[in-house]
Amino acid sequence: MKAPRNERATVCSWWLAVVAGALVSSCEKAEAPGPLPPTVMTPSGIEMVAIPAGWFQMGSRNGKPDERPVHRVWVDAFLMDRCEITQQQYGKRVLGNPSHFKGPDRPVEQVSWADAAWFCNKRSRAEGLQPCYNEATAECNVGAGGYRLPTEAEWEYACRAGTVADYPFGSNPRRLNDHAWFKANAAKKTHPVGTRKPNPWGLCDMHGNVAEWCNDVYETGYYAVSPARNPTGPADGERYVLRGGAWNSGPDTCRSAFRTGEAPGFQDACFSRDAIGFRCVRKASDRDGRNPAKPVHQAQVGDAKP
Amino acid sequence: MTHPRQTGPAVLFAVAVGAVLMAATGAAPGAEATGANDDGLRQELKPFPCRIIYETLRKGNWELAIINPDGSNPATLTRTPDSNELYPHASPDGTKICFSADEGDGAAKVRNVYWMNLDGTGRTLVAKNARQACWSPDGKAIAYLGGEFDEFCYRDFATKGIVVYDLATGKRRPHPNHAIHHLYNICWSPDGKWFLATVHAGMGFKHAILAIEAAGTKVHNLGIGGCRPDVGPNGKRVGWGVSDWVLRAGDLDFSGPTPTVVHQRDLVTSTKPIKVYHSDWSPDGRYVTYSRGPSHKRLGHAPEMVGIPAEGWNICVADARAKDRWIAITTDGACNKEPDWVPPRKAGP
Repeated sequence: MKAPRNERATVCSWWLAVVAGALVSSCEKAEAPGPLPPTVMTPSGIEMVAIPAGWFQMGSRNGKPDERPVHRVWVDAFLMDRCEITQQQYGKRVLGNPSHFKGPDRPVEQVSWADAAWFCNKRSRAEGLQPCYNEATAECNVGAGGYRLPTEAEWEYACRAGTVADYPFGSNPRRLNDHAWFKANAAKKTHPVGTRKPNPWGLCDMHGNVAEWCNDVYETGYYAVSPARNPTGPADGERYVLRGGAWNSGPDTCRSAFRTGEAPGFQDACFSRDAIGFRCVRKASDRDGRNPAKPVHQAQVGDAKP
Repeated sequence: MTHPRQTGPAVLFAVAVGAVLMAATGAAPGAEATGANDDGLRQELKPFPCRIIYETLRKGNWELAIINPDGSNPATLTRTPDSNELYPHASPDGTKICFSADEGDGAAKVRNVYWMNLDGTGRTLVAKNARQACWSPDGKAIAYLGGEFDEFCYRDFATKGIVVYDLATGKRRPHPNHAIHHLYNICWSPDGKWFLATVHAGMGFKHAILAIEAAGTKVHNLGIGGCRPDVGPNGKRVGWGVSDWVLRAGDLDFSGPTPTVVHQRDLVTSTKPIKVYHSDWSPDGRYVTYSRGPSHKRLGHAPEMVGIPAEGWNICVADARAKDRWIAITTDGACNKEPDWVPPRKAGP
C-alpha cells in the first residue's frame, strides 16, 4: 500500500509524545497523569492524535438500554482528528459552508453522514491516500489507507482514553462545564473547537459542541452481538450512529457511552441539523511514530486480559 | 395455504384491495417508475392551452425541452453541445425563456444566466456567474441570484445577493438588502412586491422559506419548512416541497404585519426512494407540474439539484384540486427536471 506522502512532524518515539502534548496549543492541558499520545500534522494542516491499540469496556451499566451489555472490545491503533472538523477545514474541500453558526474555527454542522463521508474521500485524495468510501454505494473499506468516519468502538475508546467513569474526568456532571460546550454553557450555539479542556489523550470536544457522525449503522441491540475485535456495526439500517453530545445536549447525552442514531441524509440537499458535525480517522502506520500493533496504553485502557 | 375452492374469492379480494389502493394513491401497482396513468386527467389536459418546459440530459448534455401537459408533442428546444441549459422559466406572456447555462470546462467552468425567445432565437446573456433566474410579473425584468464563488459550484445555496436585470436597457440593479446570502429557488409574487426563496445556512437562518420585500429590506420566515416555493398565479397560493416525499400547497396571506401561510394541504405524496420536487403552478392555478424520480444510497450531490444527473426522473402533472391525482408526461427518465408552465402566447401590442 502506498505510504502517505509529504507527511511532516511525524513523531518517532514516545519521549517526543511529551513534546507533542505540549504543542496541543488551543486546548488546555489534560488532567490525567502521564504523557499524551503522539500527534501528527497532516498535509491538510489538520492535527491528529495517534490512538494506541488496546482493549476497553464498551458501554455503560448505568446508561440507556442500548448501552448494554457492557462488553470488552479490542481496537487497533488509528489516528483521530484532535478536534472536530472546522468550517475552514471543510471549506478547503467543499465549496458552500452549510453551517448555521458561522465561524472559521467553529465546527462545520448541518452535514449529513453522506456529506461527511464524501469529505473524507476528498481529504484522502488531496493527500494521495486511498479513499475508503465507494461513492456509488456508500460502502466503506475500513482497510483502505484514507480517511473515514470513526467506528462507534473507535470513537468510544478514544473518548474514554483509558477511563471507565461516565466522563473521562469522573462521573460528576458539574465538571462538564470545563470540558464541553453543552446546553448549560453554550448559549444555544457552537463555539470554536478546542476551547474546552481535552480528554486524557488530548482529544477536544468529545463531549459537546456538535454531535459526531460515526461510520456504523445504529442498532439498539448491537452490543449483544458485536464482535470483540474492531466491530464495524450492523450491516445495514435506517439510522447511523451519533456520539458525543452537542451544544444543545444535557449532561447525560454527553457521557462517553451515550449513543443515538440519525437518518444519514443520503442525497439530501437540505440536511439541516445544526448540532451535527464530525471528525475523521485513518489507519495508523509506522510513519505515524510507532508500531501500530503495539498497544502502548494497554495497562491504562484494559482492566482484564483478552 | 389457500384452499383451491377459495382461490376465486381470494383473487377477487386482492383485485378489490388493489383498486382501493390505486384510488387512494393515484398510482397503478407497478407504475412507480413512470407514474400513475389517470386517463381522465390526461384527457382533461389535452385541450389545456399551455405547454411545459423542462431540463433534460441528452447524450451527456443538458438541453431544454418542451411538451404538452398531456405528454404529447415533446420537442427539444436547444441543441448546444458546448452549453448545458438548465432551470428554464417562461415569461408571463409565453414568448421568452430565461435559464441557466453551465459553460466551459475545468477551472473555466461557469454557470451563467441567459434569456431567449421561445423558438430558441435571440439568445442573450443576462449575467455571468449567476443562477436560478425568474421573471418579473410584467415580463420586463429578470431577477437572478449571484454566484457565491468565482469557482464553479453545484451547491444550490451557493449564492450571494439578488440582482434585477432590465431587458429593455440591459442594466442590472442589486437588491437593496445587501445581506442576502445563500438563497435558492427564487420566485417573484404576481403583485411584484415579494420574492419567495429558500435560504440554507445564511442570513442567520438554519434553513427556511423566506418572503423578502422586492423593493425593501424586510425578510420574513414563512415558517412552513421544506424548500423550493412557487407562488400561484393569483398570488394567494404557494406550493413547495415540505420534504423529499411531499409537495404541499397553502394559502398566502400578506394582509397582516407578517406574511403567513394558512390552510396547508398535501398535493402529491410519494414513498422512499421516489422523490417529488420542483412544483410549479399552471397559469390558472388548476394544475401543478413537478419532477419525480428515485434517490439512491450514494455519496455526492442530490439528484434534485440543478445540473446533477438524475437518472429515472420524469415530469409529472397533478390536479391541484385533489390529492395524489397525477400523471407522468415524460417516461424516458432522461433526468427530466425543473418543469415550468409556458402560458399561451399573448398577442403583441
